[in-house]
Amino acid sequence: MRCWNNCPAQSNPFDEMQGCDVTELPADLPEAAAWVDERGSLCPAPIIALGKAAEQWPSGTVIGLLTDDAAAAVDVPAWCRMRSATLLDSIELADSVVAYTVELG
Amino acid sequence: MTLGVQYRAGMSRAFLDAASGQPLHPAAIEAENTLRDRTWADPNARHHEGVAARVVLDAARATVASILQTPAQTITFSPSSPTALRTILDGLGHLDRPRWLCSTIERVVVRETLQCWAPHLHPMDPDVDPTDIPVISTDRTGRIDPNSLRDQLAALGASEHPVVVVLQAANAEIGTVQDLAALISVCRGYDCFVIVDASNALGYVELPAGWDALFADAGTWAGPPAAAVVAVAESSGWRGSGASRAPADSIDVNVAVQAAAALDAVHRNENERNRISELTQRLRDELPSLIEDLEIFGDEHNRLPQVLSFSLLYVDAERLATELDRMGIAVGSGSACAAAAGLPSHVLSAIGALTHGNVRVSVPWNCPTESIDALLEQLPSAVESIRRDAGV
Repeated sequence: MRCWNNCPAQSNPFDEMQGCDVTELPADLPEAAAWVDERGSLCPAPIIALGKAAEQWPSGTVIGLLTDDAAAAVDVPAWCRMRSATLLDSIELADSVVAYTVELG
Repeated sequence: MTLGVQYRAGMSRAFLDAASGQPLHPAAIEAENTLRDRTWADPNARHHEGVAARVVLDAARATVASILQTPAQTITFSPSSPTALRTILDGLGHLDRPRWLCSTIERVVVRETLQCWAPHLHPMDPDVDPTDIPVISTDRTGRIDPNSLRDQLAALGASEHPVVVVLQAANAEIGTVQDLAALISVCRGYDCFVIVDASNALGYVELPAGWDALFADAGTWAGPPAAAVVAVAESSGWRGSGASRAPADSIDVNVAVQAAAALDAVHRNENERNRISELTQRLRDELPSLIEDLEIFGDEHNRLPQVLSFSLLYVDAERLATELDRMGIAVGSGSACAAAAGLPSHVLSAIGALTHGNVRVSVPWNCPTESIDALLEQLPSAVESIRRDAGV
Protein backbone atom coordinates (compact mmCIF):
# COMPACT_ATOMS: atom_id res chain seq x y z
CA MET A 1 0.00 0.00 0.00
CA ARG A 2 1.19 3.45 -0.84
CA CYS A 3 0.07 6.75 0.63
CA TRP A 4 -0.23 7.67 4.25
CA ASN A 5 -0.27 4.25 5.86
CA ASN A 6 3.23 3.54 4.59
CA CYS A 7 4.73 6.78 5.76
CA PRO A 8 7.40 7.01 8.44
CA ALA A 9 5.78 6.62 11.84
CA GLN A 10 3.96 9.78 12.79
CA SER A 11 1.24 10.06 15.37
CA ASN A 12 -1.22 12.16 13.38
CA PRO A 13 -2.59 10.46 10.26
CA PHE A 14 -3.02 13.86 8.62
CA ASP A 15 0.68 14.51 9.06
CA GLU A 16 1.34 11.12 7.51
CA MET A 17 -0.69 12.12 4.50
CA GLN A 18 1.41 15.23 4.07
CA GLY A 19 4.50 13.09 4.27
CA CYS A 20 3.39 11.10 1.25
CA ASP A 21 3.44 11.82 -2.41
CA VAL A 22 -0.25 12.63 -2.51
CA THR A 23 0.12 14.30 -5.87
CA GLU A 24 -0.02 10.76 -7.31
CA LEU A 25 -3.71 10.53 -6.44
CA PRO A 26 -6.21 11.33 -9.22
CA ALA A 27 -7.81 14.74 -9.08
CA ASP A 28 -11.41 15.31 -8.01
CA LEU A 29 -11.70 12.37 -5.64
CA PRO A 30 -14.67 12.48 -3.27
CA GLU A 31 -13.96 13.83 0.18
CA ALA A 32 -12.45 11.35 2.60
CA ALA A 33 -10.34 11.49 5.75
CA ALA A 34 -7.79 9.28 4.01
CA TRP A 35 -7.28 7.53 0.70
CA VAL A 36 -5.86 4.03 0.58
CA ASP A 37 -4.09 3.70 -2.75
CA GLU A 38 -3.99 0.05 -3.82
CA ARG A 39 -3.73 0.57 -7.54
CA GLY A 40 -1.83 -2.35 -9.07
CA SER A 41 -2.29 -4.81 -6.22
CA LEU A 42 -4.52 -7.87 -6.32
CA CYS A 43 -6.98 -9.48 -3.92
CA PRO A 44 -6.87 -9.79 -1.00
CA ALA A 45 -4.30 -6.94 -0.68
CA PRO A 46 -6.72 -4.02 -1.29
CA ILE A 47 -9.18 -5.28 1.33
CA ILE A 48 -6.39 -5.97 3.82
CA ALA A 49 -5.15 -2.40 3.31
CA LEU A 50 -8.67 -1.05 3.73
CA GLY A 51 -9.04 -3.09 6.93
CA LYS A 52 -5.75 -1.83 8.33
CA ALA A 53 -6.65 1.76 7.54
CA ALA A 54 -10.09 1.37 9.09
CA GLU A 55 -8.54 0.31 12.40
CA GLN A 56 -6.89 3.70 12.73
CA TRP A 57 -10.01 5.80 12.42
CA PRO A 58 -13.09 6.19 14.64
CA SER A 59 -16.56 5.06 13.68
CA GLY A 60 -18.30 7.48 11.32
CA THR A 61 -15.08 8.43 9.48
CA VAL A 62 -15.19 8.34 5.69
CA ILE A 63 -12.18 6.68 4.07
CA GLY A 64 -11.50 5.94 0.43
CA LEU A 65 -9.98 3.04 -1.48
CA LEU A 66 -8.44 3.31 -4.93
CA THR A 67 -8.10 -0.04 -6.69
CA ASP A 68 -8.06 -1.60 -10.13
CA ASP A 69 -8.70 -5.11 -8.79
CA ALA A 70 -11.95 -6.40 -10.34
CA ALA A 71 -12.72 -8.49 -7.24
CA ALA A 72 -13.12 -5.28 -5.20
CA ALA A 73 -16.53 -4.66 -6.80
CA VAL A 74 -17.81 -7.59 -4.74
CA ASP A 75 -15.34 -7.59 -1.87
CA VAL A 76 -15.72 -3.96 -0.78
CA PRO A 77 -19.50 -4.33 -0.22
CA ALA A 78 -18.86 -7.69 1.47
CA TRP A 79 -16.22 -6.12 3.74
CA CYS A 80 -18.67 -3.31 4.61
CA ARG A 81 -21.25 -5.94 5.56
CA MET A 82 -18.80 -7.84 7.77
CA ARG A 83 -17.50 -4.65 9.42
CA SER A 84 -20.86 -2.83 9.70
CA ALA A 85 -19.50 -0.07 7.46
CA THR A 86 -21.53 1.72 4.77
CA LEU A 87 -20.46 1.85 1.16
CA LEU A 88 -21.16 5.45 0.19
CA ASP A 89 -20.05 5.56 -3.41
CA SER A 90 -17.96 3.94 -6.13
CA ILE A 91 -16.68 6.03 -9.01
CA GLU A 92 -15.03 4.56 -12.08
CA LEU A 93 -11.87 6.41 -13.09
CA ALA A 94 -9.47 5.83 -15.99
CA ASP A 95 -7.51 2.56 -16.43
CA SER A 96 -10.12 0.37 -14.65
CA VAL A 97 -9.43 2.18 -11.38
CA VAL A 98 -12.44 2.52 -9.07
CA ALA A 99 -12.62 4.94 -6.15
CA TYR A 100 -14.69 3.54 -3.26
CA THR A 101 -15.72 5.63 -0.28
CA VAL A 102 -16.91 3.93 2.91
CA GLU A 103 -18.20 5.26 6.20
CA LEU A 104 -16.76 3.22 9.04
CA GLY A 105 -19.21 1.49 11.36
CA MET B 1 1.54 -50.17 -19.44
CA THR B 2 1.62 -47.45 -16.79
CA LEU B 3 2.38 -44.48 -19.08
CA GLY B 4 5.59 -44.11 -17.10
CA VAL B 5 3.66 -42.73 -14.14
CA GLN B 6 4.78 -43.72 -10.70
CA TYR B 7 2.44 -43.02 -7.83
CA ARG B 8 3.52 -43.14 -4.26
CA ALA B 9 0.66 -44.88 -2.48
CA GLY B 10 0.00 -45.06 1.23
CA MET B 11 0.12 -41.33 1.88
CA SER B 12 -2.79 -40.35 4.10
CA ARG B 13 -4.62 -37.55 2.33
CA ALA B 14 -7.86 -35.73 3.10
CA PHE B 15 -9.38 -35.21 -0.34
CA LEU B 16 -12.20 -32.63 -0.12
CA ASP B 17 -12.44 -31.36 -3.70
CA ALA B 18 -14.81 -33.93 -5.21
CA ALA B 19 -16.43 -31.26 -7.40
CA SER B 20 -13.24 -31.17 -9.47
CA GLY B 21 -13.19 -34.94 -9.87
CA GLN B 22 -13.34 -37.99 -7.64
CA PRO B 23 -12.53 -41.70 -7.79
CA LEU B 24 -14.94 -43.82 -9.81
CA HIS B 25 -17.64 -45.42 -7.62
CA PRO B 26 -16.83 -49.08 -6.80
CA ALA B 27 -20.23 -50.06 -8.21
CA ALA B 28 -19.22 -48.60 -11.58
CA ILE B 29 -15.99 -50.57 -11.61
CA GLU B 30 -17.82 -53.76 -10.67
CA ALA B 31 -20.49 -53.25 -13.36
CA GLU B 32 -17.84 -52.64 -15.97
CA ASN B 33 -15.90 -55.75 -14.97
CA THR B 34 -19.06 -57.87 -15.11
CA LEU B 35 -20.37 -56.56 -18.42
CA ARG B 36 -17.20 -55.69 -20.35
CA ASP B 37 -17.53 -58.71 -22.67
CA ARG B 38 -20.98 -57.56 -23.79
CA THR B 39 -20.51 -53.82 -24.26
CA TRP B 40 -17.95 -53.44 -27.02
CA ALA B 41 -20.14 -53.94 -30.10
CA ASP B 42 -22.21 -51.27 -31.87
CA PRO B 43 -25.60 -51.29 -30.10
CA ASN B 44 -27.30 -50.26 -33.36
CA ALA B 45 -26.03 -53.32 -35.25
CA ARG B 46 -28.48 -56.19 -35.75
CA HIS B 47 -26.06 -59.06 -35.18
CA HIS B 48 -25.84 -61.05 -31.97
CA GLU B 49 -22.99 -58.97 -30.53
CA GLY B 50 -24.74 -55.69 -31.32
CA VAL B 51 -27.97 -56.89 -29.70
CA ALA B 52 -26.01 -57.93 -26.60
CA ALA B 53 -24.63 -54.39 -26.31
CA ARG B 54 -28.10 -52.97 -26.94
CA VAL B 55 -29.56 -55.02 -24.07
CA VAL B 56 -26.91 -53.69 -21.69
CA LEU B 57 -27.41 -50.10 -22.89
CA ASP B 58 -31.18 -50.42 -22.42
CA ALA B 59 -30.64 -51.71 -18.90
CA ALA B 60 -28.46 -48.67 -18.13
CA ARG B 61 -31.18 -46.45 -19.59
CA ALA B 62 -33.87 -48.12 -17.47
CA THR B 63 -31.77 -47.64 -14.32
CA VAL B 64 -31.46 -43.89 -14.89
CA ALA B 65 -35.13 -43.68 -15.92
CA SER B 66 -36.36 -45.29 -12.71
CA ILE B 67 -34.44 -42.73 -10.63
CA LEU B 68 -35.88 -39.85 -12.66
CA GLN B 69 -39.29 -41.55 -12.66
CA THR B 70 -39.63 -41.20 -16.40
CA PRO B 71 -40.08 -43.78 -19.19
CA ALA B 72 -36.84 -45.53 -20.25
CA GLN B 73 -37.13 -44.39 -23.88
CA THR B 74 -36.75 -40.74 -22.77
CA ILE B 75 -33.18 -41.36 -21.53
CA THR B 76 -30.05 -41.11 -23.65
CA PHE B 77 -26.34 -40.92 -22.89
CA SER B 78 -23.91 -38.27 -24.01
CA PRO B 79 -20.16 -37.75 -23.58
CA SER B 80 -20.37 -34.40 -21.73
CA SER B 81 -22.64 -31.69 -20.36
CA PRO B 82 -22.12 -29.28 -23.27
CA THR B 83 -22.86 -32.06 -25.77
CA ALA B 84 -25.92 -33.04 -23.74
CA LEU B 85 -27.22 -29.47 -23.73
CA ARG B 86 -26.54 -29.09 -27.45
CA THR B 87 -28.46 -32.30 -28.10
CA ILE B 88 -31.43 -30.79 -26.27
CA LEU B 89 -31.13 -27.43 -28.06
CA ASP B 90 -30.94 -29.21 -31.42
CA GLY B 91 -34.54 -30.33 -30.96
CA LEU B 92 -35.82 -26.78 -30.49
CA GLY B 93 -35.24 -25.49 -34.02
CA HIS B 94 -38.99 -25.34 -34.69
CA LEU B 95 -39.71 -22.81 -31.91
CA ASP B 96 -40.86 -19.48 -33.30
CA ARG B 97 -38.34 -16.80 -32.32
CA PRO B 98 -37.85 -18.01 -28.75
CA ARG B 99 -36.43 -15.96 -25.92
CA TRP B 100 -33.75 -17.35 -23.59
CA LEU B 101 -33.27 -17.22 -19.86
CA CYS B 102 -30.86 -18.71 -17.34
CA SER B 103 -29.71 -17.73 -13.86
CA THR B 104 -26.65 -15.73 -12.82
CA ILE B 105 -25.23 -18.80 -11.09
CA GLU B 106 -25.51 -21.35 -13.92
CA ARG B 107 -22.30 -23.18 -14.70
CA VAL B 108 -19.99 -21.30 -17.08
CA VAL B 109 -20.06 -24.22 -19.52
CA VAL B 110 -23.87 -23.99 -19.67
CA ARG B 111 -23.92 -20.25 -20.33
CA GLU B 112 -21.22 -20.58 -22.96
CA THR B 113 -23.10 -23.36 -24.73
CA LEU B 114 -26.27 -21.25 -24.74
CA GLN B 115 -24.43 -18.22 -26.09
CA CYS B 116 -22.84 -20.34 -28.76
CA TRP B 117 -25.93 -22.29 -29.79
CA ALA B 118 -28.87 -19.90 -29.45
CA PRO B 119 -27.93 -17.75 -32.46
CA HIS B 120 -27.37 -20.83 -34.63
CA LEU B 121 -30.92 -21.94 -34.00
CA HIS B 122 -32.44 -18.57 -34.77
CA PRO B 123 -30.03 -16.55 -36.91
CA MET B 124 -32.70 -14.26 -38.30
CA ASP B 125 -34.17 -12.96 -35.05
CA PRO B 126 -33.11 -9.32 -34.67
CA ASP B 127 -34.52 -9.13 -31.15
CA VAL B 128 -32.16 -11.70 -29.68
CA ASP B 129 -28.62 -10.65 -28.92
CA PRO B 130 -26.65 -13.90 -28.95
CA THR B 131 -23.86 -12.45 -26.86
CA ASP B 132 -26.27 -11.47 -24.15
CA ILE B 133 -28.45 -14.29 -22.86
CA PRO B 134 -30.81 -12.73 -20.27
CA VAL B 135 -30.09 -13.83 -16.73
CA ILE B 136 -32.18 -13.97 -13.61
CA SER B 137 -30.64 -12.99 -10.27
CA THR B 138 -30.76 -15.00 -7.08
CA ASP B 139 -30.98 -13.93 -3.47
CA ARG B 140 -27.90 -13.98 -1.23
CA THR B 141 -28.29 -17.71 -0.60
CA GLY B 142 -28.37 -18.46 -4.34
CA ARG B 143 -32.11 -19.17 -4.54
CA ILE B 144 -34.26 -17.88 -7.38
CA ASP B 145 -37.45 -16.22 -6.20
CA PRO B 146 -40.43 -17.65 -8.17
CA ASN B 147 -42.01 -14.18 -8.24
CA SER B 148 -38.88 -12.68 -9.82
CA LEU B 149 -38.96 -15.46 -12.38
CA ARG B 150 -42.57 -14.61 -13.21
CA ASP B 151 -41.67 -10.92 -13.59
CA GLN B 152 -38.65 -11.68 -15.73
CA LEU B 153 -40.62 -13.99 -18.01
CA ALA B 154 -43.25 -11.30 -18.45
CA ALA B 155 -40.53 -8.72 -19.18
CA LEU B 156 -39.04 -11.02 -21.81
CA GLY B 157 -42.34 -11.12 -23.65
CA ALA B 158 -43.22 -14.68 -22.64
CA SER B 159 -46.85 -14.03 -23.49
CA GLU B 160 -45.96 -13.64 -27.18
CA HIS B 161 -42.85 -15.78 -27.52
CA PRO B 162 -41.78 -19.19 -26.31
CA VAL B 163 -38.99 -18.98 -23.74
CA VAL B 164 -36.21 -21.55 -23.32
CA VAL B 165 -35.43 -21.53 -19.58
CA VAL B 166 -32.30 -23.24 -18.29
CA LEU B 167 -32.22 -23.80 -14.52
CA GLN B 168 -29.74 -25.68 -12.40
CA ALA B 169 -31.19 -28.00 -9.77
CA ALA B 170 -28.34 -27.22 -7.38
CA ASN B 171 -25.18 -25.17 -7.34
CA ALA B 172 -21.91 -27.06 -6.89
CA GLU B 173 -20.00 -24.03 -5.63
CA ILE B 174 -22.27 -23.02 -2.75
CA GLY B 175 -24.48 -26.12 -2.41
CA THR B 176 -27.82 -24.33 -2.72
CA VAL B 177 -30.69 -26.47 -4.04
CA GLN B 178 -33.34 -24.57 -6.00
CA ASP B 179 -37.06 -24.91 -5.36
CA LEU B 180 -37.42 -26.38 -8.85
CA ALA B 181 -41.05 -27.42 -8.37
CA ALA B 182 -42.09 -23.81 -7.69
CA LEU B 183 -39.97 -22.45 -10.55
CA ILE B 184 -41.30 -24.99 -13.04
CA SER B 185 -44.83 -24.19 -11.90
CA VAL B 186 -44.23 -20.50 -12.76
CA CYS B 187 -42.87 -21.49 -16.18
CA ARG B 188 -46.02 -23.51 -16.87
CA GLY B 189 -47.97 -20.23 -16.85
CA TYR B 190 -46.17 -19.37 -20.08
CA ASP B 191 -45.02 -21.17 -23.20
CA CYS B 192 -41.69 -22.24 -21.71
CA PHE B 193 -39.33 -25.08 -22.56
CA VAL B 194 -37.68 -25.86 -19.22
CA ILE B 195 -34.22 -27.43 -19.30
CA VAL B 196 -32.82 -28.56 -15.94
CA ASP B 197 -29.08 -28.95 -15.29
CA ALA B 198 -29.26 -31.71 -12.68
CA SER B 199 -25.48 -32.09 -12.29
CA ASN B 200 -24.48 -32.45 -8.61
CA ALA B 201 -28.13 -32.92 -7.58
CA LEU B 202 -29.10 -36.10 -9.43
CA GLY B 203 -28.53 -39.08 -7.15
CA TYR B 204 -28.12 -36.87 -4.08
CA VAL B 205 -31.43 -35.00 -3.78
CA GLU B 206 -34.94 -35.75 -5.04
CA LEU B 207 -35.84 -33.87 -8.21
CA PRO B 208 -39.38 -32.81 -9.08
CA ALA B 209 -41.11 -33.80 -12.31
CA GLY B 210 -42.44 -31.30 -14.82
CA TRP B 211 -39.26 -30.36 -16.71
CA ASP B 212 -39.14 -30.67 -20.49
CA ALA B 213 -35.54 -31.78 -20.66
CA LEU B 214 -32.81 -32.57 -18.16
CA PHE B 215 -29.12 -33.29 -18.33
CA ALA B 216 -26.46 -34.14 -15.75
CA ASP B 217 -22.74 -34.84 -15.56
CA ALA B 218 -22.00 -38.40 -14.41
CA GLY B 219 -18.76 -37.22 -12.78
CA THR B 220 -20.84 -35.45 -10.13
CA TRP B 221 -22.13 -38.76 -8.74
CA ALA B 222 -18.76 -40.56 -8.84
CA GLY B 223 -19.53 -41.87 -12.31
CA PRO B 224 -17.15 -41.58 -15.27
CA PRO B 225 -16.23 -37.94 -15.99
CA ALA B 226 -16.71 -38.32 -19.74
CA ALA B 227 -20.41 -39.11 -19.51
CA ALA B 228 -23.67 -37.26 -19.11
CA VAL B 229 -27.29 -38.33 -19.15
CA VAL B 230 -29.98 -36.61 -21.15
CA ALA B 231 -33.72 -36.91 -20.54
CA VAL B 232 -36.34 -35.42 -22.83
CA ALA B 233 -39.91 -35.64 -21.54
CA GLU B 234 -42.39 -37.21 -23.95
CA SER B 235 -44.83 -34.40 -23.34
CA SER B 236 -42.24 -31.76 -24.23
CA GLY B 237 -42.07 -29.86 -27.51
CA TRP B 238 -38.69 -31.40 -28.36
CA ARG B 239 -38.43 -32.51 -31.99
CA GLY B 240 -35.50 -34.39 -33.39
CA SER B 241 -34.71 -34.86 -37.02
CA GLY B 242 -37.26 -36.99 -38.87
CA ALA B 243 -39.69 -38.86 -36.66
CA SER B 244 -37.31 -39.01 -33.71
CA ARG B 245 -38.92 -38.27 -30.37
CA ALA B 246 -35.73 -38.70 -28.36
CA PRO B 247 -32.09 -37.85 -29.01
CA ALA B 248 -29.75 -40.61 -30.16
CA ASP B 249 -27.08 -42.03 -27.86
CA SER B 250 -23.57 -40.88 -28.55
CA ILE B 251 -21.50 -42.79 -26.05
CA ASP B 252 -19.48 -45.92 -25.46
CA VAL B 253 -21.87 -48.48 -23.92
CA ASN B 254 -19.21 -49.34 -21.38
CA VAL B 255 -19.17 -45.76 -20.10
CA ALA B 256 -22.99 -45.61 -20.01
CA VAL B 257 -22.95 -48.73 -17.83
CA GLN B 258 -20.52 -47.13 -15.40
CA ALA B 259 -22.59 -43.93 -15.25
CA ALA B 260 -25.83 -45.80 -14.55
CA ALA B 261 -24.28 -48.17 -12.00
CA ALA B 262 -22.68 -45.31 -10.04
CA LEU B 263 -25.90 -43.28 -10.08
CA ASP B 264 -27.93 -46.25 -8.90
CA ALA B 265 -25.48 -46.94 -6.06
CA VAL B 266 -25.42 -43.31 -4.89
CA HIS B 267 -29.19 -42.98 -5.15
CA ARG B 268 -29.84 -46.20 -3.22
CA ASN B 269 -27.42 -45.51 -0.40
CA GLU B 270 -29.36 -43.00 1.65
CA ASN B 271 -27.24 -43.80 4.72
CA GLU B 272 -24.05 -42.68 2.99
CA ARG B 273 -25.73 -39.55 1.64
CA ASN B 274 -26.92 -38.69 5.16
CA ARG B 275 -23.47 -39.39 6.57
CA ILE B 276 -21.90 -37.03 4.01
CA SER B 277 -24.51 -34.41 4.86
CA GLU B 278 -23.59 -34.72 8.55
CA LEU B 279 -19.92 -34.15 7.66
CA THR B 280 -20.64 -30.84 5.92
CA GLN B 281 -23.13 -29.90 8.64
CA ARG B 282 -20.39 -30.43 11.21
CA LEU B 283 -18.18 -27.93 9.35
CA ARG B 284 -21.11 -25.52 9.13
CA ASP B 285 -21.73 -25.79 12.89
CA GLU B 286 -18.15 -25.78 14.15
CA LEU B 287 -16.12 -23.51 11.84
CA PRO B 288 -17.66 -20.16 12.89
CA SER B 289 -16.67 -20.71 16.53
CA LEU B 290 -13.14 -21.79 15.58
CA ILE B 291 -12.28 -18.96 13.16
CA GLU B 292 -13.21 -15.28 13.26
CA ASP B 293 -14.48 -13.39 10.23
CA LEU B 294 -15.65 -16.49 8.40
CA GLU B 295 -18.77 -16.37 6.25
CA ILE B 296 -20.56 -19.54 5.15
CA PHE B 297 -22.53 -19.42 1.92
CA GLY B 298 -25.52 -21.18 0.46
CA ASP B 299 -28.97 -22.03 1.75
CA GLU B 300 -28.76 -23.55 5.22
CA HIS B 301 -31.65 -25.97 4.71
CA ASN B 302 -32.05 -26.54 0.99
CA ARG B 303 -28.56 -27.70 0.29
CA LEU B 304 -26.51 -30.43 -1.34
CA PRO B 305 -25.22 -32.92 1.25
CA GLN B 306 -21.70 -32.92 -0.21
CA VAL B 307 -20.87 -29.19 -0.57
CA LEU B 308 -19.88 -26.40 1.82
CA SER B 309 -18.41 -23.05 0.78
CA PHE B 310 -17.05 -20.32 3.03
CA SER B 311 -14.78 -17.27 2.79
CA LEU B 312 -12.18 -15.99 5.22
CA LEU B 313 -11.64 -12.24 5.50
CA TYR B 314 -8.08 -11.03 4.74
CA VAL B 315 -6.91 -14.49 3.60
CA ASP B 316 -5.17 -15.26 0.31
CA ALA B 317 -7.05 -18.34 -0.89
CA GLU B 318 -4.25 -19.63 -3.08
CA ARG B 319 -1.79 -19.51 -0.22
CA LEU B 320 -4.29 -21.19 2.10
CA ALA B 321 -5.02 -23.97 -0.41
CA THR B 322 -1.27 -24.53 -0.92
CA GLU B 323 -0.69 -24.59 2.84
CA LEU B 324 -3.53 -27.07 3.39
CA ASP B 325 -2.27 -29.23 0.54
CA ARG B 326 1.14 -29.36 2.20
CA MET B 327 -0.65 -30.54 5.35
CA GLY B 328 -2.34 -33.29 3.32
CA ILE B 329 -5.73 -31.63 2.75
CA ALA B 330 -7.09 -30.89 -0.75
CA VAL B 331 -9.83 -28.26 -1.09
CA GLY B 332 -11.23 -26.14 -3.92
CA SER B 333 -11.60 -22.37 -4.14
CA GLY B 334 -13.62 -19.84 -6.11
CA SER B 335 -11.26 -16.97 -5.37
CA ALA B 336 -9.63 -15.02 -8.19
CA CYS B 337 -6.09 -15.84 -7.11
CA ALA B 338 -6.88 -19.56 -7.29
CA ALA B 339 -8.44 -19.31 -10.77
CA ALA B 340 -6.60 -19.62 -14.06
CA ALA B 341 -8.53 -16.66 -15.48
CA GLY B 342 -7.62 -14.41 -12.55
CA LEU B 343 -11.25 -13.54 -11.93
CA PRO B 344 -13.33 -14.55 -8.92
CA SER B 345 -16.06 -17.14 -9.34
CA HIS B 346 -19.14 -15.64 -11.02
CA VAL B 347 -21.27 -17.51 -8.48
CA LEU B 348 -19.61 -15.85 -5.48
CA SER B 349 -19.89 -12.47 -7.24
CA ALA B 350 -23.56 -13.04 -8.09
CA ILE B 351 -24.54 -13.72 -4.48
CA GLY B 352 -22.42 -10.83 -3.15
CA ALA B 353 -20.11 -13.18 -1.23
CA LEU B 354 -16.63 -12.19 -0.15
CA THR B 355 -14.64 -13.54 -3.09
CA HIS B 356 -11.20 -13.65 -1.52
CA GLY B 357 -10.21 -16.32 0.98
CA ASN B 358 -12.80 -18.71 -0.45
CA VAL B 359 -12.69 -22.39 0.41
CA ARG B 360 -15.01 -24.88 -1.27
CA VAL B 361 -15.27 -28.23 0.43
CA SER B 362 -16.87 -30.95 -1.69
CA VAL B 363 -16.97 -34.33 -0.02
CA PRO B 364 -16.31 -37.41 -2.16
CA TRP B 365 -18.32 -40.60 -1.88
CA ASN B 366 -17.09 -42.78 1.03
CA CYS B 367 -15.11 -39.86 2.45
CA PRO B 368 -13.45 -40.88 5.73
CA THR B 369 -14.61 -38.89 8.78
CA GLU B 370 -10.92 -38.30 9.48
CA SER B 371 -10.76 -35.98 6.44
CA ILE B 372 -13.17 -33.57 8.12
CA ASP B 373 -11.37 -33.99 11.46
CA ALA B 374 -8.12 -33.02 9.72
CA LEU B 375 -9.64 -29.89 8.18
CA LEU B 376 -11.18 -28.77 11.49
CA GLU B 377 -7.86 -29.38 13.20
CA GLN B 378 -5.55 -27.71 10.68
CA LEU B 379 -7.59 -24.85 9.22
CA PRO B 380 -7.62 -22.47 12.24
CA SER B 381 -3.83 -22.38 12.62
CA ALA B 382 -3.29 -22.10 8.84
CA VAL B 383 -5.66 -19.12 8.67
CA GLU B 384 -4.14 -17.51 11.75
CA SER B 385 -0.66 -17.75 10.31
CA ILE B 386 -1.70 -16.20 6.97
CA ARG B 387 -3.54 -13.37 8.72
CA ARG B 388 -0.58 -12.76 11.01
CA ASP B 389 1.74 -12.45 8.01
CA ALA B 390 -0.67 -9.99 6.42
CA GLY B 391 -0.55 -7.92 9.59
CA VAL B 392 -4.24 -8.11 10.42
